[in-house]
Amino acid sequence: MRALVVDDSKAIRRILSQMLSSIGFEVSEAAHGKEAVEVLAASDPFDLGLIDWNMPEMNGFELVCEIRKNSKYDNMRLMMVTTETEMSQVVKALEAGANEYVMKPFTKEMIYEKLSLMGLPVSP
Amino acid sequence: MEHLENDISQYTEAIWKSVLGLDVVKSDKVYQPDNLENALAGCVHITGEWQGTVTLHCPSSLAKKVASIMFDVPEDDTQMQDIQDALGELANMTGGNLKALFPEPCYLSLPTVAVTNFDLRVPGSELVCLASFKCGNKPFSISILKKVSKNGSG
Amino acid sequence: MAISTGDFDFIRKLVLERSAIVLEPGKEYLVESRMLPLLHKEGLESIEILVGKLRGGTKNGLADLVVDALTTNETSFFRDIKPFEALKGHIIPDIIEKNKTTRELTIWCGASSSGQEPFTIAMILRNDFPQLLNWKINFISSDISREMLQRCRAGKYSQLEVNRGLPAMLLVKFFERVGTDWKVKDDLLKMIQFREINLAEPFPVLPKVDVLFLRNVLIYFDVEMKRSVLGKIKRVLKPEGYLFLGAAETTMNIDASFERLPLPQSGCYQLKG
Repeated sequence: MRALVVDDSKAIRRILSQMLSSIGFEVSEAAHGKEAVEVLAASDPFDLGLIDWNMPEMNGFELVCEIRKNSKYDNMRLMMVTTETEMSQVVKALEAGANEYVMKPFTKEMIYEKLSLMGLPVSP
Repeated sequence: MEHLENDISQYTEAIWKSVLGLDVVKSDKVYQPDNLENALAGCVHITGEWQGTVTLHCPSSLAKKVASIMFDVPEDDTQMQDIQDALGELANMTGGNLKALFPEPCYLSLPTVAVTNFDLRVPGSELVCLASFKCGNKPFSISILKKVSKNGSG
Repeated sequence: MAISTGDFDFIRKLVLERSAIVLEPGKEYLVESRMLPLLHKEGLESIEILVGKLRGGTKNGLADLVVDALTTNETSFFRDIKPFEALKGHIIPDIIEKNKTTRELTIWCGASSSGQEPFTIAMILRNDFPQLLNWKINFISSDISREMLQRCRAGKYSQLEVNRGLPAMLLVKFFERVGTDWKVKDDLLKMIQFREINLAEPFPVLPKVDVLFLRNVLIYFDVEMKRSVLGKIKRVLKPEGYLFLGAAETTMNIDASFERLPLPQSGCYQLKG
């Protein structure tokens, strides 16, 4: 399983990458939407994207829209992991094609439970 | 403002516990940066229907501790860049959670972090809420500043 | 913080009397760790002082808080997932077929705790089975703790709680924001009748149950109490009703009249035909 973690905070990228690699994911990182688009174009397909909302260059909402425009990424599960916690934002992200949504702050349990909900394997 | 102060406490306790595994308690003693060590302030600005700033102000030793947990390195090995990143993200989470309590739509800026031993002042803004905490024996504070527009409508 | 033998015995007896839950010697660590947040909240310095207050009976409600702290478990929406997949994929469709003439469905959650389990079931019924909208649904959710029942009736959850196991699509559909909290919408809340029921005592009169959730409850009882509770369940469950226990619990060596269904990791039982 391959995952792409997109967040402008290096600390958050590290924490999420660690959580995913400890359950067997091969993880790549990007610091904003634009970099994520480049990583996507240059790599094998990803099974999962964890995406922050507020980032420089291209934000996470725009990134979700961009990814969902391309049928090549139809199998990629997208989960927002963001400090945006208004109901309207959750709705907006789901309508744009995000599969799940986690509001920061998060714990390992929250991330793993959501992965299970999306049918992804969560075993060490 | 007691209501807002409670909301700040609730979010702050949740953020520090979930992200850092640290217990924080509300403190009656207002955190004042002193000359003994540098203080750092992480800020995010909110624009839109409600305009203002949320800041997290703490001594550099606490910021170091935060970074050491988030980057999983010993405190002495933390780099300034990582300390700023970690504190910025905590300010981002605090500000983002609080933003949802204000009228929609509001937008959150990217976080900025400054070294400042003075009370943080944002021109044209007034302090609407200040909550002080202790993490172990280290103090820190969260403040909400509201932008006061020239025509006074806020 | 170490607990003295005398204080542990006192708390053990208190919990046993009030909830029939057995804290065996060796569970001192559990009492210590569960009492810490309570001590903090009540501004008490040690378990010794807490037990002193309990013995003196000086503060009303303190005993309830102690029992709650020791009998309430951390939970989440869709906890363990598998039982709910079984419910959605197999059990509810089966009951819809069986009860199609009466158009009545009875569900009982025997340990609501903070409500995530009954609300998860209610969301599945509403979201995945629109044909049940004109059925009579008796949905009873019970707990021994009044504080927990109050929480359930309010239907309010913190952001951390709705982040746990709740699909975002269902959050959007069945919750609304109230300040810092997320509240279950009235439509869903009204489906469920929350009642105080102590499983250790004789059950009140209930309609015959199609599905009974009683996960991670029996583990707290001694064998005699387990047998007694399962005996009462046999009488309240429909002959073809379903019983959910925790995945690690079993009726084996306690009551031979149940059989585990071959639904993976769901902990689902039926009475032997």
